[in-house]
Amino acid sequence: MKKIDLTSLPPENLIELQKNLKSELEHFNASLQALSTASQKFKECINNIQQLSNVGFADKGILVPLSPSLYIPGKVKDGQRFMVDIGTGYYIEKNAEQSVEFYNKRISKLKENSEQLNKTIQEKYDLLNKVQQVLNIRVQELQQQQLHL
Amino acid sequence: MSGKKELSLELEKLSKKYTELQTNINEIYIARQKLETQYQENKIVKEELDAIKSKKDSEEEKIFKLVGPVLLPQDLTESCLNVDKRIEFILKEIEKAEKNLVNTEKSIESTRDELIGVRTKLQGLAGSNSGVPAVPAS
Repeated sequence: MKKIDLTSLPPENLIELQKNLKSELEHFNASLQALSTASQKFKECINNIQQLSNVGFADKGILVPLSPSLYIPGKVKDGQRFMVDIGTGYYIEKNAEQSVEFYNKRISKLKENSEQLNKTIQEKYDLLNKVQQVLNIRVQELQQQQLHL
Repeated sequence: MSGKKELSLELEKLSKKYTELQTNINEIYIARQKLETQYQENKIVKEELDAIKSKKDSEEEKIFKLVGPVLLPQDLTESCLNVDKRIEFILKEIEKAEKNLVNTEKSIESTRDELIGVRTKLQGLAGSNSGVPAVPAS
């Protein structure tokens, strides 16, 4: 990547750069939000698995939602086997331990991505601040010039 | 030298082309992002399938594929091949999109240069014809 001295840019380019950085930041923040939502969902899955695989839980009845307002009583036939969606339409039947392992792996991957994204966001913020500073200096210079005219 | 009217027409044509190209590049960009998402998803599936492959007791973990509303049991090697093929296809598509992106970017740049050229010509013409400068002197 080419390195450009910010102070050498004309104000129009600086404003353009500022606008771009802002929209990039918005996008990144939305992505970060999406990552944390996904990770939250996986955590819920783990919770569900742990509850279901508890010994004795399967004997208790459950209510199966047929529609948001209609439930029928049901029974868990096997609380130890789970169908895990691994993406693109593929499902794998796993036992409780393997399922939890799968979700934990996904969560740690998401965490990795979040950390990386956070770093990028921080870098963009720093750059944005620098651009803002240079712009401020430019504005001051212009005001000074106008005062002298 | 071409007349003012012709130049105006050309300017209009060029700016139309310019906006068109910009919409195009946006579309390509969105498609590129979609492909990236698909690629990542398929990669995860591949990793998972490979993990099962390397396990000895792979009998325990059965693979199904969602076809419409039903889950169909799948063969492990077949699924692996399927996903491999899909990844290959997606990578090719990404390559295509990248090339397309570069090409469109290039034509956007050349159109912009043309646009600026015609505009300055038009401004020069306006200045010399009416005696009123196109850019007011400060």
